[in-house]
Amino acid sequence: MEKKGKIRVAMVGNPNVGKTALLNAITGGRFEIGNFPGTTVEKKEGTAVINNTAVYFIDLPGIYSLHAYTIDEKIARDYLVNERPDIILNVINAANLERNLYLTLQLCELGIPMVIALNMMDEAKKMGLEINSRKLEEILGVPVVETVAIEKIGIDSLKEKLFHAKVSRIKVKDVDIRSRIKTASEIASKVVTKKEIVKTWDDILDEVFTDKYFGIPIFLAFMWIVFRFTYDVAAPLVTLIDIGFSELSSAVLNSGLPFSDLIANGIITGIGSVLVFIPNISFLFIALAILELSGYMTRAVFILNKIMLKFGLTGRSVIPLIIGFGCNVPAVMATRGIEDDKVRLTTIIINPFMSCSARLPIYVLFAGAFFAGYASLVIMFLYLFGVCVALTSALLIRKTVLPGEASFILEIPPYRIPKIKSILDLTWIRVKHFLVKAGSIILAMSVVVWYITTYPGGSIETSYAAMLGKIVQPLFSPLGWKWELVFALITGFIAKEVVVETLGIILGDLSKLSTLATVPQALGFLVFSLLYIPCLATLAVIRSETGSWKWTAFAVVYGFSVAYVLSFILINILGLLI
Amino acid sequence: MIELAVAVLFTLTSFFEFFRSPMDSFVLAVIAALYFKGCFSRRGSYIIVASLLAVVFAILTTLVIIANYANSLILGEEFKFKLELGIIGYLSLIFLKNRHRYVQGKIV
Repeated sequence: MEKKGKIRVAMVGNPNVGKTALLNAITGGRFEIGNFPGTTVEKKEGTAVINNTAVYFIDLPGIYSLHAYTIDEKIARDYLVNERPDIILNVINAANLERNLYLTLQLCELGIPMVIALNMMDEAKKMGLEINSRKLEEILGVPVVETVAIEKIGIDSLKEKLFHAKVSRIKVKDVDIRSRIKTASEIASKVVTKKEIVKTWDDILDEVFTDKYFGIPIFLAFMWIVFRFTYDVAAPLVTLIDIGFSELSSAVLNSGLPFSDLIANGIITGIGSVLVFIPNISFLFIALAILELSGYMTRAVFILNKIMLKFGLTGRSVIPLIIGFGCNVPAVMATRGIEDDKVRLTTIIINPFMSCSARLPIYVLFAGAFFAGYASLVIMFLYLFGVCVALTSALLIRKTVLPGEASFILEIPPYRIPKIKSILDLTWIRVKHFLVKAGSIILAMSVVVWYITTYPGGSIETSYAAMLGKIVQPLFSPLGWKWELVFALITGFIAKEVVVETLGIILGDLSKLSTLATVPQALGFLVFSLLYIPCLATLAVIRSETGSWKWTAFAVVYGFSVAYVLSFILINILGLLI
Repeated sequence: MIELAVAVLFTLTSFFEFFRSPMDSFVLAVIAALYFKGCFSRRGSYIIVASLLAVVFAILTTLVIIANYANSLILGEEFKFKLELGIIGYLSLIFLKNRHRYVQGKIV
């Protein structure tokens, strides 16, 4: 919705040049920042009052050009061409001026007043680059301001210059790709001077992190550290919350208040069984935020790129897959940056196999109950198993229904020491999503599950839940699961956290969980929970991103079949061994 | 050469840890291998990354010990101290403190 009477400023730039950090610095907002190309996949908006004028900022997804090869580029181009903002704020990575200028030249051709933020000046200086911003201003004929968005350097000056935005006077001889590349190169050579080449910390770290032999072992070592941090270090907080909810539930039950059974055994037990895992989820997000903001995650993408190509994907698929460890919904949306439609579709279909944070409570619960002492190992196995199934599925899909070649160019951002505020902001944005779900879907489901596990008979065994569970249970009898587990899986279709919530309500005390299955059946259940039907929200976004019911149905049927077959095999093999 | 001595120490630690936690052992083995590579190829970058990984792992180990202690306190159980061998990673702080020796990517 456009706000009339305001100045509209479109922020445009290459991926990972700090547009969102700049938006936050100008507007005081708290949008998600990454050191990761593709953090912004949709328009973000923020408003600031500058010189008593309301200025409305639109942060467009990072793009390399206005050619509209990818969905990101199409969103940005459509906005600039159709909506015609009052000002373009072109954010440029000073450490990579020549490449960024290609887009700048295209923006100049639009004839819209423009200001350039020469961002990441600190990175450029570290690389021994000296940039004559005055000369750049003269050549392009638009104001150029040096900034370090993350440190809020140059922000006041930038706000001031927005009121002096000009239409560029530069003319590119021929409006084609080669001509623009040549012009960009000529401009860069005039304004950039490089001091004596020294080996930077980035070079030193990259030599090892992207080493042909050491890259993957180091990645696995970091992943193990992440999982121990998530499970072992968060344990006392989990215990505290667990005790808190148990005490609260008992107090309400003994209070004699109206609906005390619904509140204690339904709402408190249901929500509590999910919220108890908030420390695990928060710690996982803290660890991932550190890896992401430091720039290491992109190196992980780089070393995994070769493997990805073997499975018919590209390194660009890695970014949505890693985002999938948090939540599959933004992960599916993040595939918009993939140019090749077939690769994009494949990445969407396999994304639900990446273990989202909603599945972590199921893992922590079952691993603690059935695999005490090896819980971290089991959880790491599940995450890696999900990745293996995703890659194998990608290969299968690319060899059969979506054949074709894949290629990819990856931009490597500089290393940065993550700031505590950035880590906490990023973690909060992601955890908030989980909390909102707890206060909406999970709260509603706790009432529904309580009702159908209590009525009509008053006991679990004669409840609607038992009836439904027992009707569906024969389908799962080859896997040996009792109706309680089957019913939990059915409710888990709404949201995966609801599996744990349902078991909490059915059992009353989750320590009774070990009575429901044997060790092989428990591991089979974990694998099934990892792979089966995507949750409702993910299915909705798969439908909207693919624009096809056929592919949405494929994601459901394929996921369920793979989950069923692999769980069956695992349970039977382990049954022979144990 | 102190780097080589530390590489051997991490190798031994990895071996002892294997029977308790194969994945902890794996992390220690990666650190040892990076130290060896740094020593034999005389490339400081490997020493720096090995030291970073070792210190991060040592911090994790310390947090795990503190978390175990806190958990026993909350549950009112007796705390059973279990030595986590990853703690030797703090030794690597000496390399990070003297990182100027490796800053050009070579062992000076």
